[in-house]
Amino acid sequence: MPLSGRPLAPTVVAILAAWMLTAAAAQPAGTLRMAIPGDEGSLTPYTYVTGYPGYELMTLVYDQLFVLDAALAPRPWLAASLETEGAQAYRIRLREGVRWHDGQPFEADDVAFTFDYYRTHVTSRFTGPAARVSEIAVHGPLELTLSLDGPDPSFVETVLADLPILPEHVWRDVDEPRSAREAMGTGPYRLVQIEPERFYRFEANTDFWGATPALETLVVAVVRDETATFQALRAGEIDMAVRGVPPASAATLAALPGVEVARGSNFATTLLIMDVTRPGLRDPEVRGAIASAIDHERLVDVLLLGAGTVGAPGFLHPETPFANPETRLPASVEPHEVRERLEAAGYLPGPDGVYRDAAGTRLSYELLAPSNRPTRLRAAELIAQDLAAAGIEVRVRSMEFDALTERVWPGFDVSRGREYELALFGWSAPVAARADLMGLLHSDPSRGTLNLAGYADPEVDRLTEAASRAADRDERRALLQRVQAIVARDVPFVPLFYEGGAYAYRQDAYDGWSYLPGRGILHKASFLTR
Amino acid sequence: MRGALGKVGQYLLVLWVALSVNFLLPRVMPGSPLPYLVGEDVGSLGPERLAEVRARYGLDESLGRQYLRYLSDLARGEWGVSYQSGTPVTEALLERLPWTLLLVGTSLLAATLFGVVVGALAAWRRGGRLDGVTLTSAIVVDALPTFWLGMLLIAVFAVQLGWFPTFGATTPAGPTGGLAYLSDVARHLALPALTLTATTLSGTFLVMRYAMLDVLGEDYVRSARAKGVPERRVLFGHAVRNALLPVSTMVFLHLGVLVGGATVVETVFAYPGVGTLLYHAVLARDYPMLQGAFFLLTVSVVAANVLADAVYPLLDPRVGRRAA
Repeated sequence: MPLSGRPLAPTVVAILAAWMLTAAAAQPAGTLRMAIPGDEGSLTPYTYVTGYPGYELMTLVYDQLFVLDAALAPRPWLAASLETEGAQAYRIRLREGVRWHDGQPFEADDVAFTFDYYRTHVTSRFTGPAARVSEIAVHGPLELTLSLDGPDPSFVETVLADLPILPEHVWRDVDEPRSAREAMGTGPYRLVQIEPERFYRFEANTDFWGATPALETLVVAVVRDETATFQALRAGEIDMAVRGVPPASAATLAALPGVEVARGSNFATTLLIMDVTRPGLRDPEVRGAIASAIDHERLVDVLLLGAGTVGAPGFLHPETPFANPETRLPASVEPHEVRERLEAAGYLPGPDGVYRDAAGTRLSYELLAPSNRPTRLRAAELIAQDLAAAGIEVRVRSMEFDALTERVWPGFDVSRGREYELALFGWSAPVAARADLMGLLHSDPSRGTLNLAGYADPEVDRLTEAASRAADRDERRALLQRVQAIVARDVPFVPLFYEGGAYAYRQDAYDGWSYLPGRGILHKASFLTR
Repeated sequence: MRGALGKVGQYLLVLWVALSVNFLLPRVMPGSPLPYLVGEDVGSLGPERLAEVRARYGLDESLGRQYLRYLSDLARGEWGVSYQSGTPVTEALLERLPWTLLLVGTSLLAATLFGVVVGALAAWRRGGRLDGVTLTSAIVVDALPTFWLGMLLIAVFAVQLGWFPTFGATTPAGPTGGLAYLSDVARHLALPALTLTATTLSGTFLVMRYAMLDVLGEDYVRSARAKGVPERRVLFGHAVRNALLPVSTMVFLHLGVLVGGATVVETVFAYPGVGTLLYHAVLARDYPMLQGAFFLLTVSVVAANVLADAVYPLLDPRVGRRAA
């Protein structure tokens, strides 16, 4: 008898009144609890740790000038409108009435300051892009022009839709950005509490200039262990697991009452990378033979239980805007056809069945695979089987992820060379979303900063440079598609697959998620009323 | 006096060697802290900006120079700032230490008390029902992998029965004070402490049991019984005290690494202790954090040894006499 001894009528009236009050306005509702796989520092643009989920959480607090919509097209956000002359000078009019969380007005000076700050305080994601702006002219409190060194038709989606804007009145006194403690922006949520390694608490920014925040409170707990994360979801202690669901447990989780698994694409790639300066591997015919000997479909079926996309030979995920549709699928080839191809290129099998070049050097390689990534480790074993059937010997060697990185990419600086033959590696989604083929392929280490293959081709250099200078999107797409055709033919690396995204949440707690292609359900729009 | 000075010299030597190893070991590991210093997209920075970052954090200096800087910083009590999170190392350690002390301390206390008492009783009734049951369970529990036991407890008591939470040291954004907070902490502590107690307990129990069996065969126990001393006094007054020596060695060993946390249990239960902090500092090549955490660990191991040296003579007067 919970109501015994209490007059019933006033209670009912009070409840009704409260209900009517909340129903009257579009009010944020309730608390959402999520789990992230690691600590994300103080969640400022300089102290968040990972691109996913760190960047996505940080941008609940900070806003960009543009955001990408579900079709990956940029939509004005802090910017109200934009005019450009030849994709080189961008005149931006800012939204009116936007305030920082502390009540100060947001102005063009903040934007100008932000670009200056990123240029002078090195951080890997924002410094390079900000440095492309050579001149900033502020025309008024809400208007400014950003001028670039040369034309860049994708400046809006790769830079303006990515860089979080900093409040000048806070950051002008910050000399050492890594020690920044206070995350404060214009975004839909305020970060109100951080307990390191335990949780973050966000609260709806009731003065947000745009759509109403969908939730009153977000609690983001740090749960490093995968099993613990999904047990917490089962037990109803969290409402959403930010960590992707492993393919093997997706079906079991989705079958639980109240639990939903959202699926979609993810642009992060898994590749077989090669040092193309080595004997054998320097021959495009051998690299082509390796690519065609690998059964890509089997990798997706066995390792991802079908929840993924076969790697496009041109590198870019078929759903990304600059992908070349003609290089969408790798050719499927039988082992004997691979052998015939090798023989046609002048290689002959030795008594052990392994092919040798004219000088008698065996096509035998060491394949490095990261010990803490089971999918990649198993991929290495399957690849070794496929290649053995085609007469190419592969010895799989597993090593810790950072040790492997140090071998394929010493000091994160390709000008220092490389110490590997074959390795399983991957690039995060932004490399694909930015269509950074110049980074992956250019022969000059200061431009081809991700060129782990040691690949050098004058035409690819020329085309990627031209693409970066292209005055419009269509021209850029045409150039990048030509590069992808060359990549598919020349095989500087073998894109194996893109793991599909699968994210589990409790539908009964919150159902406002939207899946952004390549990014998943954790992004700003999922936390705003539509 | 000369003995005492020698002892101090010995401890200082141990400390210096340990400190040097703490410095060197993280740096000979392949890998680099750069992605944690400037972010994941470190590769897009290009050679010049990378060089700038290395210079800024002193990573381009020779090992010898870095070593000297490390020693002088340590002497001035400057433990540096974590590469991963940008927080001062001391702050991060102080944040974690209470949780570790709570988890590992509780388990150590429970395991020692329980292990000593049950071990003594089992030996006393050697071959009896109690002995059989406890000995078998101790050996079984000892053979269980810790993470597996932890996961089993979570699956049964947290997910199926819902009696305890599945992760963390407190409910995120839960109660912050009063009885509600204490009960929240206790509920979160229960399963990890149980796991850790179970895995520590069997060792204490087995050592105590064998030490006790040894002692029970001694002449003075027989004399005490012959004199008509009551059984309970023979057990606790004569036998247990003498059997405690090997157990106390073990406890002091555990005490020394207490602040190091319990990585496996902390990981399985997402408990924010020093163990996981250390583990992730290793993965991130977070040199300042590794140095700070290992320094703390080194000092506490040495301190536990000093304490053990001081306590031994109280337990066994023969030890003190030899040193004099």
